[in-house]
Amino acid sequence: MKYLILATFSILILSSCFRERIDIDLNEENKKFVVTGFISTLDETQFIKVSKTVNYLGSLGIDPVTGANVTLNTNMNTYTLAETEPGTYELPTSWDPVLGADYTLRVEAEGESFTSVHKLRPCPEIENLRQQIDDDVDEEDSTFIYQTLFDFQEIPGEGDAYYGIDYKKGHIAGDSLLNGGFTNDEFIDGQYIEDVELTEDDRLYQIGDTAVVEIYSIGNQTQKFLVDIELEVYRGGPFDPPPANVRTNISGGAIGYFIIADARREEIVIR
Amino acid sequence: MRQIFYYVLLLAILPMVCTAQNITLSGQISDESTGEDLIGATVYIPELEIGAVSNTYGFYSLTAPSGTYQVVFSYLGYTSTSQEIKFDKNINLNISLRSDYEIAGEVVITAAAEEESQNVESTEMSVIDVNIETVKKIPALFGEIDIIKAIQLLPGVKTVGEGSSGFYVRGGNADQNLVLLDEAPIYNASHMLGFFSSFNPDAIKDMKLYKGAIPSHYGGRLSSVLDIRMKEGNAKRFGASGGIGTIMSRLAVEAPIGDRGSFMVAGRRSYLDLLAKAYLSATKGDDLDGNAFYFYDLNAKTNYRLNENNRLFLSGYFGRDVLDSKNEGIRVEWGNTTATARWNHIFSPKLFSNLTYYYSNYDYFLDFKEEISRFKWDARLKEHSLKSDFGAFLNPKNTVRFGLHVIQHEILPGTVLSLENNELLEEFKIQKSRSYESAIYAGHEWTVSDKLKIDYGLRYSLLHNIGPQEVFKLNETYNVVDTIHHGSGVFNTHQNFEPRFGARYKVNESLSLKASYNRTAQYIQLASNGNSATPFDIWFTSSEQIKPQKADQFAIGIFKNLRDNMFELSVELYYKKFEDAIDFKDHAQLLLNKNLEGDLRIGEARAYGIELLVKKEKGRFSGWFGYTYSKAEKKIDEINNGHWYNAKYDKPHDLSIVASYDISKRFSLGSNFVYSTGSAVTFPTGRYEFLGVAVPVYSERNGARLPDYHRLDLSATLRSRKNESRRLQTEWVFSFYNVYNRKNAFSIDFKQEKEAPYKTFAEKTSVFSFVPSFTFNAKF
Repeated sequence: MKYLILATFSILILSSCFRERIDIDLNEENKKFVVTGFISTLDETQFIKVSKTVNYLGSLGIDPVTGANVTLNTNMNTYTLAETEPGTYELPTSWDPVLGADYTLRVEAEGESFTSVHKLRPCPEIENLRQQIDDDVDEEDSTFIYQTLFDFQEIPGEGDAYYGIDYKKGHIAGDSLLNGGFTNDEFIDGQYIEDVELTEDDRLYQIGDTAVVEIYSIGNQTQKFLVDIELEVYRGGPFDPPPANVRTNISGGAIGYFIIADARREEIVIR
Repeated sequence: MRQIFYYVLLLAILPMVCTAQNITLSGQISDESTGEDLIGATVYIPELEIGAVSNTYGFYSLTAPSGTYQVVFSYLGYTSTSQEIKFDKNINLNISLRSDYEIAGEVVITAAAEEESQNVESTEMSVIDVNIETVKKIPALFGEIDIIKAIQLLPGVKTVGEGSSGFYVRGGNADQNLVLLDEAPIYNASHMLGFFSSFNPDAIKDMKLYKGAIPSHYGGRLSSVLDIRMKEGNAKRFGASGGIGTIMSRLAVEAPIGDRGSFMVAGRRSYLDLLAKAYLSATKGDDLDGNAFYFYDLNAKTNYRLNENNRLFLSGYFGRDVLDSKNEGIRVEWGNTTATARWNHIFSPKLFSNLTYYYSNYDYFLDFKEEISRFKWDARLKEHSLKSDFGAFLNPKNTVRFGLHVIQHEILPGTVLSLENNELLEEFKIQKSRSYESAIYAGHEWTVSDKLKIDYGLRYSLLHNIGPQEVFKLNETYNVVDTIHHGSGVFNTHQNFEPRFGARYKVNESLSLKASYNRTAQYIQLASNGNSATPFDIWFTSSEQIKPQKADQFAIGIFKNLRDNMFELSVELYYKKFEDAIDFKDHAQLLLNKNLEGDLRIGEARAYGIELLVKKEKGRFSGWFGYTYSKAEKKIDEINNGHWYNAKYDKPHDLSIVASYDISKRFSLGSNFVYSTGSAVTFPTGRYEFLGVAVPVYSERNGARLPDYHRLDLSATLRSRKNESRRLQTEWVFSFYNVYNRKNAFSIDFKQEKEAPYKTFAEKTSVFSFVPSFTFNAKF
């Protein structure tokens, strides 16, 4: 809510502002190793990326780290991830998720070693997936007026958090983490949550579209990481706090974040 | 041995014996045409080379041996008057001086040859008296004269962001300035998110900024005191003045109350929203009905003289900003309220006293309505205070000032109500905090010899935190380990001795050297870490875990007057060290945080610099040249890996040139130019990608800089003809802000193209390009 308030003020101030893109030289610090991964229990390819930081400005994508030794293990199993393209290490499709287990990711690259631990938390079912016309749209102006809606049973016991996203089927490529939403269970622990809307205003559906809805059980520590990312990426308001690094759960001197989450995916055809 | 004893006794008694033969001349110095008290006017006996200065109520007291002397009364911008006075018994003499403007019909300040130059004579250093007439000549944004904007043009005072009302003095944060309006502190001195300050120039008589060498009768803030006094109101005749500008209109009236008092009422109201509405509906057909964004303020003051020895003053300020959107169901309001009551009592011609009670309040609320649901948030800070102050004018060489001051602080940091169909669903409340801040102080101004004058004092200050209150106990890693419930009464105390010292050594009539040291303590501070002032201020007091912040400042300076006091020149060097300085950890949550202390980090800070000021107040051509080189740095646990980092207001080079020229009685030109190093900011030094997001990586906090800031403003004032038979005076003021239209960076942000994390860019935001405006002022 407070962001809404600050946003209102920001708009007022910035309405008398000029914005322009400028060229600027940024200092580039020593490159750091980066380990990222968002492994889910969905039935598709799961991977970890190992890279180095690049200059913030410039067209360079990622600077991949090749030839790393990447493993994921629980008490029972150890999986070795194979490099399928430079810097991308795939989890074998044969992996068998153990709900409630702590997963340890180990990366050895260029003589250095990094680790991260994340719990695989169970995810509730997406229930009663349905459609409705978005309140804020003008039905006469557009055909893109539908949003998705669902209910879910929050898992009793504090410490859960969920990441959810919906999108038009076939259009996931290039999609951003920030098109989804997230919440923790601080105020909703153990409750049955109704009427969850994930559809963003600029991503509404028209009749005939197939909408895909996904939720991931990420845990409340990881939710804080997403909050950090949102703060740093949506900068530009006059009331912004000073820029600061987002948190990391990789130890050993690398930055980045490793998530492993149980997930659910449902589809609905809009009609 | 016995001889020594008698000698000491004689030395002790001698002054008393001498005093017995001395005669005191005392009274009031005021403006002849308005009856306004003149603050800082001088009374001087050339024959004896002794003098006195009128205090903030225009009261003076000068003691001399019996005899007959020529006594000169003078004040900058006024015609001096000289009287032969026979000192045979204590004399009460009220003097009124005539302003040069009344005589010449133009606002040109002339030199009074007899006048002592305070620049060279006074022990005061790091102090700037800002003449309201001078401020009126400075070109202003939207033509709205603003005293805070004038303050920002002085050496040692910095700003962050364009058009902001916040200011940073000698490496201190904005909340380390004590901004007083008739002795009551103003907690948020800005309107419209900082573009305008809270002070109506029509209601202001005088202001003084202490950047250092802060006298012992002021306390509670580390870095500066801005003491603003409202006009008393014309005691001679009814008068009114007003103005119509691009952004707002002003009206002030003043009149005598019998022959013993006067009153003044002044108000302002902005109408930018009305103009915006008209513009939008005319050009775009947009309907802004039901939307409003405006501010208003009201100043009122009255004074009444009961008899020669007793005088009462009542004054108040009420200012409010309102943002209202009926369509969106949003209403937001914020503002300050103050009230001051004062009683001047003259115990004897040598002992002046003043008793002040004040009340100050700052509050804001937000109200959001959507169909049946409603969300209300309000926060408030208020204080009541009593101050008893005494000035003893023992003799021309010794003046003592002492007193005591008690403040009751009450802070309600935030209450949020969530309602549905007007039924309370949920209440979230940050508990109220109460405390008492008190101090006793004494200061002695002592003219040791013709050359040496010292001013020293001590302030002993105390803070008592008052229950009932729940306090989170934090461990070394700032995690809550326990919650302690304190019952009513005092549960925590802090105390500080704050010595103050200043000395002036006069090398010759036009040159003096000065040195000062002061220690200050601050018990109440603002939680802030953004770049811009928000109305949603959260002040918090020192507590069991947060020690009061302290500062020690050392300064030395050379003060020189040239060409018969036509030019005043000063160079000052300062070093300031802060103890228990605070800052917020990365990604701190300031609003609605029950454990704000857990997000605070403690460390140290330092600031140093050199300031140069050349000032010319007299003559057709007036203005100043100010240059500062300075540094302001902090070193705080967990921030920047515990290394020193630049404060955001660290802007090493800072230059301002203010000049005005009166071409004729009716036409004058004003200009100012400012240049400063860009504010210290944090830019990313790398990035990585996380699921379509370009995540910035930073290394050093505030290690980068915005581009240098510079701007030129011009103004032209055209006045109506003045003659004795015509009381109405009018003027047109044309202002041109940012003449060469430089797009100074307000901020630079780093962004990615939506859904393309590899395409990143830097975006500069600037506020106010070239802004022309005009204002019409009238007075009678």
